[in-house]
Amino acid sequence: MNEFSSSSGNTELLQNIVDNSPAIAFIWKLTEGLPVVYVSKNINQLGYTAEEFLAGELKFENIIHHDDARRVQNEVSENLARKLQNYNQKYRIIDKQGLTRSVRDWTFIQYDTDKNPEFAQGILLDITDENRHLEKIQQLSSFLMANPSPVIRITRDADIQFANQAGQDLLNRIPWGSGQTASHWRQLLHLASTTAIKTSKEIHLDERVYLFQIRPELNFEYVDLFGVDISDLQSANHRLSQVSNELPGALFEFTIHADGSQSIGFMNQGCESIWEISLEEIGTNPAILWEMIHSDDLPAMQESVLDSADKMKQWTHEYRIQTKSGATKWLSGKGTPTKRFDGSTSWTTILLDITEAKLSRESVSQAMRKTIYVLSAALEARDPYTAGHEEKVTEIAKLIAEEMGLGPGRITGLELAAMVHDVGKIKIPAEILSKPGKLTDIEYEIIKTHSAVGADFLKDIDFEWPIADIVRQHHERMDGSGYPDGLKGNEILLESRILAVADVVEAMSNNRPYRPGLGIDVAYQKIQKGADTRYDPEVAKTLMHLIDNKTLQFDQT
Amino acid sequence: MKKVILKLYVAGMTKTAINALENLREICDEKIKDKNYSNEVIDIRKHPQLAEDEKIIATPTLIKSLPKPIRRIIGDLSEREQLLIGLDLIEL
Repeated sequence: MNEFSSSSGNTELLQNIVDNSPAIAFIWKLTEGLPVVYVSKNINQLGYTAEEFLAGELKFENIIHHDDARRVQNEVSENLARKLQNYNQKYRIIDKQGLTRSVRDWTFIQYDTDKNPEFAQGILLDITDENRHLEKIQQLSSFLMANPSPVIRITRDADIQFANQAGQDLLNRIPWGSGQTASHWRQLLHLASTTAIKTSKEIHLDERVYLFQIRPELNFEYVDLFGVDISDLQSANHRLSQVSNELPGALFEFTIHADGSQSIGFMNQGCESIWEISLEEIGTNPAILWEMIHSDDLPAMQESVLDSADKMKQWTHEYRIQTKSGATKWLSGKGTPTKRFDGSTSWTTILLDITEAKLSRESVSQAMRKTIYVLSAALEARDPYTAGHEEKVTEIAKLIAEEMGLGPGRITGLELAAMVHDVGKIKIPAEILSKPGKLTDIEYEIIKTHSAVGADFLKDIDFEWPIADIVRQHHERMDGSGYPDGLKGNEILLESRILAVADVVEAMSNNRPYRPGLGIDVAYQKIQKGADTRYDPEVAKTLMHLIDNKTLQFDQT
Repeated sequence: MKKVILKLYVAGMTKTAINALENLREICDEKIKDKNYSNEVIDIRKHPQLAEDEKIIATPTLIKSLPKPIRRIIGDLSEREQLLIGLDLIEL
């Protein structure tokens, strides 16, 4: 024995070290009931005191978890029978608070001179936390293993470090796939072992397609491959694009991003035939779609798109484009906007080429228009005093409508209605129409039928505008004092309200059989006075403005 | 119990290959009764024809050729449970 170990001061020192360490030291006497003959003070980490054990109040076997007690006992007996010098065990014990803790116990057996086991020295370490971590790791690992999608980790030597069950299955099928499969795999492996950035690659195996995300780990020691079976997705996509390609128009997704830039997502084949440029070109330069819009239609188009984005309402619009070949096409579009989290707005849009329909509609309108000219000419011939009235009313109504910002389509409708607004007068006896002097009440009542009669003539003709209604309402007044129906305010079509003002102004400023022309000033005053009671104030204001700035002038006769 | 015959295909003695071999030995010593097994390590770079015959597309690949059925496990064999199941040493 040397000085160090014989010194009683050092024994104390060693005891101190043990008491301050996380390892609890025990010495049991290997007799009935395993009495504890020594236990370090740090047993208090389990809530017990050394005294409880040393006094025999508490037996060690009583703090072993019930489910482990028998196993621990059996292992000890077995180890003793095998005359082992040392061994270690893992079991659970119950601490003073009643909580379960896992411990590892390193035991050293001391034999007496007759080689019978005398004492057991045990070092117990609380491994509860360690065990919890291990359990967690096992859980996560079984999670990963059971993932139905293949997960494979490869090293930079292109060795497989790990493959989950689905990965193993896939790898084991590859050698029996077609030659293409094996070559895909070799390419994937090569890519994975060389790439420094995230990328992806497909593997075709039998009828299935797997898309592998390749993710190199930061320090490039290994690369993770995450596979997804995209076969169903692909075939669904394929079917979808097949269906969409058979659609008669252009189907595409148009996006305006938060920064104002634009992009085209999905496009069907129809886009090519509508715009007559390749999908690739459209995809790389979506601005070209705007450049192709007919210059007259561009502002309205821009407005309609912004309006749809603003109010998140469906976009519907008709406009013209000019293709590279120089052809002008009429397109009719519908798109549903969706706002995305990144602040962008996308429209799933369908465009149809309606050029032919538009042209035939136009030729019908042309024929109609001619008919109307003939009608109004016939009317004039019958009532020479008012010759030129329709044309002048038409001109005034058009000026007002333009000033008020009505669309070109509505203005055309208004013009046609204005041309024939007095067509009902055909039915009124010529004597009354051209009677000099004031009309009797009955004659006036007869005259008043002309707007309803005119509407009757026109109602069966298929116009794209409500011509018959415009004509019927052109003598209605805002306050309900007009005829034939006594409509009020907004019940009267805007076109009729415009026509009413134009009609009055024209009639007053020109000669009539029963009076000379009253002049523009009188007409102006009458409209001014009647604004809001008889005439639409907006229309009246517009007219006065047109006269004020001399846009509208009359020949004084 | 019949003798278990295992062949480990590697592409050079890489770190993964060494790990695989160690993991394999450990589990065989522990789990195969009377250590009644034989291990063979085949470097496919030295024997490309063998790799071709056994259709080795990834390394390391462990093939259990006996007892039947043949089993193939790919990777460094650190997943103990996977390995035990793969070698039919425990039931699922």
